[in-house]
Amino acid sequence: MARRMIAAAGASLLAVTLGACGSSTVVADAPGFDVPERTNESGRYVSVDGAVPMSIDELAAESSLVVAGTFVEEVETTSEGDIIGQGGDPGGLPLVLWSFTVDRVVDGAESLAGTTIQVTQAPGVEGYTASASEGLEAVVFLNQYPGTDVYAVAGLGAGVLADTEDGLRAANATTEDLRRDVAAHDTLDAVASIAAG
Amino acid sequence: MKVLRFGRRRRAAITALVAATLVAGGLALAAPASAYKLNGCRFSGTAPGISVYNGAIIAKYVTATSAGMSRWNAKALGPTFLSVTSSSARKVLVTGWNSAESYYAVTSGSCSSGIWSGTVTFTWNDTTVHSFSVTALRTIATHEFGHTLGIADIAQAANCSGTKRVMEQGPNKWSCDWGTEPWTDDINGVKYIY
Repeated sequence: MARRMIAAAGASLLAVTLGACGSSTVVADAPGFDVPERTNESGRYVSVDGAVPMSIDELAAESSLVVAGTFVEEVETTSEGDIIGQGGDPGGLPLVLWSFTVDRVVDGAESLAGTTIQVTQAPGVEGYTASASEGLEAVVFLNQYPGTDVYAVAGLGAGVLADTEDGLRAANATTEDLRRDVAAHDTLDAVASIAAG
Repeated sequence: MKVLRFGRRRRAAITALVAATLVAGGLALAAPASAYKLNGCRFSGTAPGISVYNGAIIAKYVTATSAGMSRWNAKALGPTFLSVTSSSARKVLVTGWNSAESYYAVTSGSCSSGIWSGTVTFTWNDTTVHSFSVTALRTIATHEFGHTLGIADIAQAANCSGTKRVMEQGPNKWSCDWGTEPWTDDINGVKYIY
């Protein structure tokens, strides 16, 4: 028993020492502290920095089009550089294009009602909230890439309000304020009223 | 209940091990006495010269970019940003375009085993920041250069009473006015990396 305890203590000491000295992830944790992590990555790193919306009003102010409809499916993986027409280096944001059927235009170009547009998502990008899924019914705050039928979601992806049985929900809101504001204005008419503002 | 009996030597060995474990554990817990986060990518070496090429962007972005570089250089942390006029010599490309996305700026690059491979790109979004003050643009530039050094965003607290960091990202980004320089926590992050 004592040998097992010594072995366990030794293993524990070894693990802690390796964690403290190694170049890989530091495993220590403490209340209130985020420990260093991701110290040895491979792959592409992308970070977006921008305004974090705290209300429907802010989302509306950031967008030129508000529509209600359904995310259908992923259409294409591309880069923002290709959409803008400046492909190559730099490629900019890696984007996934989703087809989205517009049932109703809440605010903006009425002619889009009944059409299918493409909506961008940037999954895996630091600072971006991706929330599209097949069949997701939602109210979406958008901005158009000029000269294309591609639209970006306002608020670094936060402008997707899921239409649930309980009403509209900002399921992936990056701020609690936005989540609360949507819960307090959880109908299409309420959002339309704010967007028309 | 079975009582464990240890000999004196064995008891001493266990005591030493437990003490060492606690000390090492304490060090491991104390080491990250800050809240910076790493993005997993860095330039190689302990004091790399980081050549920055401004690619065809308008004057106020060039000015803000230079300020961002200078603010980090002033901290003398090892890595040093250097402006270059030849695109081929660049490690960082600063550019800009009009995006429909809501970001102010994007930093992107590929890394291999934790080291940037190829050019790291810092892209301004003229659509969202064209009317920003010089002060705000300098804040953004300082933040983005933090990403190039290897530190990541920190989610901002609900008020401005917490630790100052230029790497904070959140709704109080402007009201806290923390973008004027890299602060202690940001500096600790870069020191940890280099």
